[in-house]
Amino acid sequence: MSAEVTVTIDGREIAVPAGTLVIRAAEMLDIYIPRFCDHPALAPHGACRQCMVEVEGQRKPLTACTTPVTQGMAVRTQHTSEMAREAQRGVLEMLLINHPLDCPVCDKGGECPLQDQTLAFGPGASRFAGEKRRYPKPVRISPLILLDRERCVLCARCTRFSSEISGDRFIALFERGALQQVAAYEDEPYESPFSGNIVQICPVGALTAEPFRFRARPFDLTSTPSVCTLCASGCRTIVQTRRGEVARILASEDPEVNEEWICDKGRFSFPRAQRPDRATEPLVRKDGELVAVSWAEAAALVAERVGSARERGAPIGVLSGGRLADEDAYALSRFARGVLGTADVDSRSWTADGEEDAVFASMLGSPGATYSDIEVSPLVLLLGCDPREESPILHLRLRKALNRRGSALFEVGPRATALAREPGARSILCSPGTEAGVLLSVAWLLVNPFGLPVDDATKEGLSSPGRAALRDASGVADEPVLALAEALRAAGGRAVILAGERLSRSPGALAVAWNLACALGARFGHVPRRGGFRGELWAGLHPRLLPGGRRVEDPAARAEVERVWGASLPPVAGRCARAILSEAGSLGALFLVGADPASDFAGFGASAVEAAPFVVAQDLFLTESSRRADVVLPARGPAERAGTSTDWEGRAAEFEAAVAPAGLSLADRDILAMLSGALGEAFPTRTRDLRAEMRVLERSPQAPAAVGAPTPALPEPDGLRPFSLVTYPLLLDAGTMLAGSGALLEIARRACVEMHPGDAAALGVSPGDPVRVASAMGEIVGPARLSAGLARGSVFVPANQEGLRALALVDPFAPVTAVRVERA
Amino acid sequence: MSAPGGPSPRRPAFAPLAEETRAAMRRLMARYPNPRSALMSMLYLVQAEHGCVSEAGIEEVAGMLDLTKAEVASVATFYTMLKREPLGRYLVSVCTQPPCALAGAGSLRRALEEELGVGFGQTTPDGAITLEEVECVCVCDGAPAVQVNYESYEHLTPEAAVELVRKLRSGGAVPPPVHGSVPVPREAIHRELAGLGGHDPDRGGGES
Repeated sequence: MSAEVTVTIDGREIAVPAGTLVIRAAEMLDIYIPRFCDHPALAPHGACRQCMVEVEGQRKPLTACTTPVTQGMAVRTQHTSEMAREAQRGVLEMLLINHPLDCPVCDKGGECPLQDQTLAFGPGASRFAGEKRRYPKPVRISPLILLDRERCVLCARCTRFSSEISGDRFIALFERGALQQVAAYEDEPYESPFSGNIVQICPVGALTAEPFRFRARPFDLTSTPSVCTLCASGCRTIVQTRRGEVARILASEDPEVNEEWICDKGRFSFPRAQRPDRATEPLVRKDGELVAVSWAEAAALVAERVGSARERGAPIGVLSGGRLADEDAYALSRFARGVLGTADVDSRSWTADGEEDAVFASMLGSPGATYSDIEVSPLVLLLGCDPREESPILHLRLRKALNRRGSALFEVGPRATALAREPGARSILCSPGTEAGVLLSVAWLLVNPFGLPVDDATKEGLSSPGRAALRDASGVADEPVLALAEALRAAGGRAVILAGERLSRSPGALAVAWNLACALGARFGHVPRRGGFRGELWAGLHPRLLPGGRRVEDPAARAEVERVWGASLPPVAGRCARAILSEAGSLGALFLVGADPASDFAGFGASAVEAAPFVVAQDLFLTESSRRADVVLPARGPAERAGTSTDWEGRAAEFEAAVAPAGLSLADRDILAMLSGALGEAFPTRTRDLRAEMRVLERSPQAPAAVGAPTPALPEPDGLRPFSLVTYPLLLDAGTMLAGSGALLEIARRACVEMHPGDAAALGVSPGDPVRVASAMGEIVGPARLSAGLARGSVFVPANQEGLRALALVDPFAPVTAVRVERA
Repeated sequence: MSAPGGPSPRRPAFAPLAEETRAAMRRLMARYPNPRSALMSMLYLVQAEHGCVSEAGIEEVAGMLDLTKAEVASVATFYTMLKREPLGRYLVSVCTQPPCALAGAGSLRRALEEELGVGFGQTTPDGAITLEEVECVCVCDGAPAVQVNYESYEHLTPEAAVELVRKLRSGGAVPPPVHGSVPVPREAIHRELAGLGGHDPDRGGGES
């Protein structure tokens, strides 16, 4: 397939795989051929004509970006060929006929390929004496993106990105000839969660982003390599600052992770750090009001109250929220278990039984799926995850696998994701909470008729009486289940199974998915929604897991941790977040570290925080929870401290601080060290000491091991509330980290109550009608939206959209919330 | 569709496409391995029904082909035979390229503009005739040439051209051109351009 051919470029020979483009072969020889439209991640296009080279035997110059090399080809670039030089000069001169010379006021000035190439290769003066083409400026193609058409050189990078990479085909080249221009259709704005990428790849200043336009000159910015921690995608970024404030965030390149793309949430949500509700000094509640105090006073108060709780033997709860850097998460785990001596530690907002622990324990110690696995896998099974909303770069990689590699994708769940529209994708819609039944049926088919070897326990689990009932309740026909089983059998160990955290809402489903992966030898990936979750899980911010995925009930594992910490660990399993919160009144103290239960658990969480006698909140902001706390300890934000972040793959990446910390804030690990000191306990005070301990606690990789037979549970029907609520947060919502992000929030989707057309017809609901959704916890009213991509009997409401928060409906004690739906 | 980015002038509202037009579009889509290949033909069918590529038509075609409206408009604004304003019953296209210009296209244009009271790109208020300028209709030996609904009349004098449009306007019979046939109303032309049957059996293009 990939036979090598030898080409000569500017007299230098190189052997490259057949099919390599001349421009790429030249790059391998460090020969730079000027270009505007060429982009390695996009298909060859040949629009700008800037990369003309001379090829021996051809009468006319050819575009290096569309010409594949052939055996013995002799290419001469502008460095050695007058023909190439002349052609490139001509193209540049033509592009500059209509391109304005407004570099001094253009945002791209200083980092503009057209400016650079004009300086390097262009003429000093123009022969064009006429008037340049002008347009009224600028066109707002979305709330975030502005287009100055007169600067555009029609390279089509933006439109090609939108169709090839992100699939949001809302911009196209309109008109023809000299009037050709990029445009969005009048009533169809370019609203894409990936829109900022087109600004970054625009080779001129035609596309600019509202949050950065006219704010700074590129050459005045200081760049710091960083990692985005807003979700678990793990994108490499460059944080650019001016006068100590973040001015913009760019995508950085990592072919193994985000290639060179980031989503708009990661790119445009940075104003969060400069918000008025930012916690900048320690606060202590005095006479009902939070008042600013010194760190010493705050630490002394915490030590006094926690000390007396420890003496009384009152339980102490410690919650994190998936937002910590790995070192901070580890420090918190060490502080909670080693210093406070509690096992009531959790970072999850869901409850799951022992099967999940076993999966996490094995997963943390074994190699899992990676982005690269996905790209080459013939079959991906996607469960309990909506990547476009929860891990956008994973969405792009899956899209790439489907469109470029011809992979297949099956998803099982109550709501079809955006990927279901891609070629090779198939959505199996099932009632919420019945995923385990569908997966058990798939596993049964693989094991029994297809003869997949599994251990006895697994085989026994497949015959559990719950399977058939659950399968019936799922509402899924036989054909898609058979198709999925056959696809998995065909793909075998090359399949990839991805499970999101919502899969845990179907008891047993995660364990079946994990066991399937083990039996097939397939790669498994757990995709959490928040960027810090994987690091927190590794650290042991889990009621039954110690650092490295060690089981708390395993004495040998406990001893390993005790040796490192020099402390004795409670040998008991702790309680999960919901259990801790539901008995908050009996706690001695509640620590919230980057956790906001009053938002995540709505009313239930808020009353729990109120009920707890002493609440310490370590947070960036005065959130719904921290404003109810007794002590608020200001923590440093993502760009304000160095650390490590682990993405969903388990891949760790270090980042540096890019800006000075807000006010008196400290890194979480430093706050915990200070509190330990106040309690008279030894604690590592330096990040490198924490890292050294973490390295010691790293387990050597093991093969993934199947977990015990899952115990699926049938969702209980509720006569008064016959619908099941499907809900999760969308990428852009009313979440804490996004507040204050201005134009970004304008592209947040308007919240709707989504229902199946059949259900809507039965209820007499038409699109746009107000619909009331009521659970035992509360009710909300929103406009109806009909979608066939939803299981019958389900209703989808985004968790936390401005004006419509399904979080207020969620029953914290049921895997699936039953609701009544009616026309309001 | 509008000039992208510019404020959009009020457009006449068009009724949804007739069911038989939609059925014809579905037949066109079925002709190709990739239904999108039928896009241009479908736009001609919109034009047959609405006299132009209407916004309503763009929306329907985008929906049928699972394209965005931007993708459809990109094609609709590229091709000059796809119109954005409703056409009159007859489209009179005056070639102004050098061979015709040298043979008197300028006086033809002036005579037609005076007779019709409209300029290039405009339609007479009675909706009978749209006058437009075109680049070469491939009968340079017959310069100056004018097309009426894509039938070419050659060696026209200003008087003959005026006489021709008067007959078209009054609904009277017009003589056939030297080559080709008597112009047919534009609905039929656009159906033919869509690949759905031709008025001239020699040209083929029957429904397949």
